[in-house]
Amino acid sequence: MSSPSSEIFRRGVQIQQRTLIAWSAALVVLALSVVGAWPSMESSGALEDFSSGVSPDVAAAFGIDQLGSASGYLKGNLYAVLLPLLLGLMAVTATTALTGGDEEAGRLELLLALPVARRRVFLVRFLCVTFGLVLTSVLVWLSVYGSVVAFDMDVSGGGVAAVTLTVALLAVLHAGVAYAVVGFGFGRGPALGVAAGVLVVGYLLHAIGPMSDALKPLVNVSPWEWALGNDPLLDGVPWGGVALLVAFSVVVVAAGTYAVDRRDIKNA
Amino acid sequence: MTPLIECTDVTKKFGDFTALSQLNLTVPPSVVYGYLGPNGAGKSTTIRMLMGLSRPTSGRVRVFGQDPTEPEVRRRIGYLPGELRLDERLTVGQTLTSWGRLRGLRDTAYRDELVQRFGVDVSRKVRGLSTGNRRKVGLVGAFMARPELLILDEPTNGLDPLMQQVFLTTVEEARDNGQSVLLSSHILSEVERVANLVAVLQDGKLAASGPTQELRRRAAQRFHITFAEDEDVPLAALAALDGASAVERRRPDGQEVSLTWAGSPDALLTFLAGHRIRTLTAPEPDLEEAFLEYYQQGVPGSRSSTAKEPSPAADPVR
Repeated sequence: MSSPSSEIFRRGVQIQQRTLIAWSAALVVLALSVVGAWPSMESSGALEDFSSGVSPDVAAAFGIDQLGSASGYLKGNLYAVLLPLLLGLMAVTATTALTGGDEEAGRLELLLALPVARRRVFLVRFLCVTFGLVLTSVLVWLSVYGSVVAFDMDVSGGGVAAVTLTVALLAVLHAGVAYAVVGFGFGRGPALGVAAGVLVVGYLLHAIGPMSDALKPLVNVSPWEWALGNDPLLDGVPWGGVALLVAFSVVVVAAGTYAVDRRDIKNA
Repeated sequence: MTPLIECTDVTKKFGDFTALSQLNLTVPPSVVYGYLGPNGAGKSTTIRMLMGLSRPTSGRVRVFGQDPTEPEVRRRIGYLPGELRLDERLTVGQTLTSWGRLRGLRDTAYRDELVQRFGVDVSRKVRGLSTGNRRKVGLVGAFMARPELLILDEPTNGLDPLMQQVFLTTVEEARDNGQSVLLSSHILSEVERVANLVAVLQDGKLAASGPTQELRRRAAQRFHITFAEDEDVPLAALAALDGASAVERRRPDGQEVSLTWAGSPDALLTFLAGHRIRTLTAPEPDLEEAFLEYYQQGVPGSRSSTAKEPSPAADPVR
């Protein structure tokens, strides 16, 4: 990485340092408390009862159909909804703050007047967000994997790594959506709205789509389905889904970068 | 020789609003160029296009003969934005270091000299700085790499008079060093000491441009005269002088007279020497008085020179 890029990267990380620490800490605490509750839950047998009154379809929709098993427990309480949703929100808010937010506050004015290409500034800032997501994902993965080993849970290490990977990529994709909206000049607010909307609608399609004949054909459009449709915790990395997540992210980021180079920078 | 800055028929629209209309502007090398106009005239709009931050709706902007959206062109420019927003989370020192790294600045001796000269405290956090102190940081950043061209948007905004002098000295040094400066301001006197050439912008159009001295000579100046109590106020005679316009009593039957005077005040002073006056004041002309109203009345010589008694509705100060 040449010197201007590393400087922009360092500054970008420095800017989001506090929020990054807060998010990482919150998600690690979440993961630890979910996994930490496992031994008592397992011994009490409470988990089998939890989904017994619910129809199998609905239980699957909320990822609580196999709560009694260790992997089902992790999926239902962490990987099916909570972690992807929170990591996705982290991705979206960090991206809009570092790109559209700083632009609208006039903080990019001087940076973009320096001898650095505008696309480079925006791309490196996207990279800062990705770095934050990777860092947080790794910390969450280490916390979960450490607990799995400590509590001797019946979960494969590869499965935890696989689901961490797809959840992280899902978050990166939504960062990309927010980035593209900013790139096309719609600003921070719309970027936040669109990307969070994609996140929520994607979840609903993935969770509720299979129960509705009308929505069923649309399930495969949901990035959540690409990331979690094949239960990576049990079956390992879904390479097709990973390819879709990566390809979609590359396309939206490329489109946003193309657009940002051809528009006016907003005035503070 | 390629002009440093060349705007050809540049129009910039924001929706229905035309911020700049058919602007033609040429800045030759090795000058200090004053870019004047009241707030909202389109100065910052022009400057942001010169920095490649926005693009003209139509027309062509060239800096060093190149499109300023190319990053390499900007290596040769130092920029101070009109709306300077620094990163609050950094210290002043970190901010300057970061700019230096992004510019590839190696020699920091001049930067340190500027820091001394402007009295910038590098250890302070940006968050606590006043507008004037932020401006000083911005100025150090613009000058520190000794760029061939400096584009400074309202650089003296928020600076105290002492720092304004330091700033003007720094601009003069830059000029002597062969650098060029584009200086925007809404106050004529701020730029007239250092600018060789000036352009006056109004409502997105060029109202006047040329050598500073020449424009200054053509500029109108307001004079306020208080005649002695027992002296008859020679209103008609004043109005008849070549160069006087808008001659008016400030109050009905009062001894105070205001007038706008264009050109050298010799004739006015000679005339006043024949009368007993108590006070003579000439407030620093603001831009609108100096150029804009004046030029709206058309070419010099065709101005109305009839004396006016204030009507009750007229604003007596104006």
